[in-house]
Amino acid sequence: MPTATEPIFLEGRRKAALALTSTLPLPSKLDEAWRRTSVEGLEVSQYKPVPARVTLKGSVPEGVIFTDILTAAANHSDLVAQYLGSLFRMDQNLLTASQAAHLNGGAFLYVPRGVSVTEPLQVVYEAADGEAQYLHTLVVVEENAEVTLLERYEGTGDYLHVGVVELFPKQGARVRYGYLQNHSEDAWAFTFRRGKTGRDSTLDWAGGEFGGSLVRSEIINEMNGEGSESKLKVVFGATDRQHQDLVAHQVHTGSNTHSDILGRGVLSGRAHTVFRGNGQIDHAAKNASTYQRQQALVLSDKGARADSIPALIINEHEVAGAGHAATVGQLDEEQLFYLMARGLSRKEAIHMLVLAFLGPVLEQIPVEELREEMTRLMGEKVK
Amino acid sequence: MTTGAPLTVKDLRVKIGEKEILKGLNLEVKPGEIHAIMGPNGAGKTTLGFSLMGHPRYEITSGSVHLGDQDLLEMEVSDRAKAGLFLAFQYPFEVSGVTVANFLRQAVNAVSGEEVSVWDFQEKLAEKMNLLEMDEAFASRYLNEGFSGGEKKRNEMLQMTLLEPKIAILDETDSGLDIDALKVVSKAVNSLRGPNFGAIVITHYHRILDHIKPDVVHVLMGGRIVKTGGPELALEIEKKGYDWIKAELGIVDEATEAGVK
Repeated sequence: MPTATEPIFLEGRRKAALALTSTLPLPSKLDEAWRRTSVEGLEVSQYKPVPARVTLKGSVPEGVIFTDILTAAANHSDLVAQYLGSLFRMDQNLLTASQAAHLNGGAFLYVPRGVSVTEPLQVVYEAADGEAQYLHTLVVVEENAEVTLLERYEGTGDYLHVGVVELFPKQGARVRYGYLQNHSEDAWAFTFRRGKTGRDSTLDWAGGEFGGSLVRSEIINEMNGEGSESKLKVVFGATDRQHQDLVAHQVHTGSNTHSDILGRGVLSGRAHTVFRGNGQIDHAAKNASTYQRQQALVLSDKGARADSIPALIINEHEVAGAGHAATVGQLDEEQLFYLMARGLSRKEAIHMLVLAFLGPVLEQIPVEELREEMTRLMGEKVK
Repeated sequence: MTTGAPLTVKDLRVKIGEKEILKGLNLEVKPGEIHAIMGPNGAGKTTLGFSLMGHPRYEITSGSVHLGDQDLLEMEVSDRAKAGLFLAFQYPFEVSGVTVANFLRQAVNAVSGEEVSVWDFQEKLAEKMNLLEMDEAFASRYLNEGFSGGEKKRNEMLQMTLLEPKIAILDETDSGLDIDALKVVSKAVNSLRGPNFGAIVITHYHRILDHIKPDVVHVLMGGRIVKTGGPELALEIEKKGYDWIKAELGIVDEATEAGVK
């Protein structure tokens, strides 16, 4: 959806991407990273890239830019051109090329040096049947600045979402990024999130995955700046025939960097989830640490399946610490009986046990509003 | 306080897997009455409690159980609790992530069928905890997680006093308790004692019956109530064990019958 005042760099980018769409295929199961998720049946051309419905909420101090991505490209083209697509290649497959070619919405957030934005900022996206949503969010937070951004996805009917998010916390910046994925249960949703930490910065990620028919959602974070820290949390709930393929990577390229990954989810019906956590410490990233824990709770015996795939890739001798743990468990019928013997219906008892299971992650979600919404959405899922 | 109702168990037969545990059990507990059930290991004491509460592992093959005019066997577990039946578990389950207070409030709301205000609930909780000599901090701990045996039993009694059942079944609540904890358990039962409350105290020992004076004492053996008497029966069992009852009634142990010792 090019705008009338589109800058030349964006025009050129769209043109190059459009050319790629005629040659690149959809991701294939032959590709190791997509081995557990089939996009068979997806007809990209069937979905129309109408302008995305984007609502921005929150007021910002002077100097902070918070606007939709297309307006930003027109009004702050140098800034946008500098960062757009610098952490994410558009030439990977038909989805990534289509996203770049038909970009029709997203958000741009720029926080100048030393500025603290105290109130969490929010972006809400809505999609409807037959639409293609090609979003890009760019967050640039300069030295010692601080901000919290929440993105929320809603929709109805059968539509296609392809989103790219790139976060750039510079030296000493503190960035909290949260999202709530509540797409329609008939939607295809592909989101690629990337981050690159500046020296001594902190970048905290918190995501909630609840909607979508077929979901592929990646967070790949480069722990680049020396002394930077990142916590990454994902809560997921999948029911019926939902398929959620979640990727959480912390890739350490800088020394004294510390990360963790926490994934916890609940499945019912015939849902299938994949959680691929990866803690990677590259050569020369000395004294880094990376930890991860992933846990899934399966509520049904109808064939719900949770694939937990934790990995550690360490290519450096001097490591401060590394570890991973993964479990997949079922509801304890004895616990359920105990709760029901005190008057709780089976559903109330399950609800209580699900929230108890997610509690340790939920209580660490740094933004209250996000935490409450996740709790509410999870409650609806197990109703 | 709700009005009481009698618990009537008629010819109850219960299986676990292929094994029949209760073999035609009859029992009637009227409001205001405390019944003690004693019996040797394997007699079916725990099975009785779990079957009445509706645990799915216990298969009821025949018989009937009524609380007042309500047919318990037709009801879901939670509905039995709402009808006024309470089982104090011998081994309460641990539920990490759910605080005692949160759990109790949801239980009270479920059983009473109305949203009790947080304020009213807190007040009532404090009162009952005080009665049971429990520390305030207890309410914010996760349900039974890391509780000592005595704490678990106190917690069961706390639940009972808050839910004010019509009929409570105490499944060996006294086992493994020191005298102080035993007194607390007794206090809980005695605080509910009255014309609208009946209880079944399942126990191995006479000791608890010094504190909760039973109206009726039953002996459960081989899946049936084989003998019923007054409080003096409990004393007699404490002194002489169960063999004399077997002899008196001509009961042969199943294990012996099958040639297994």
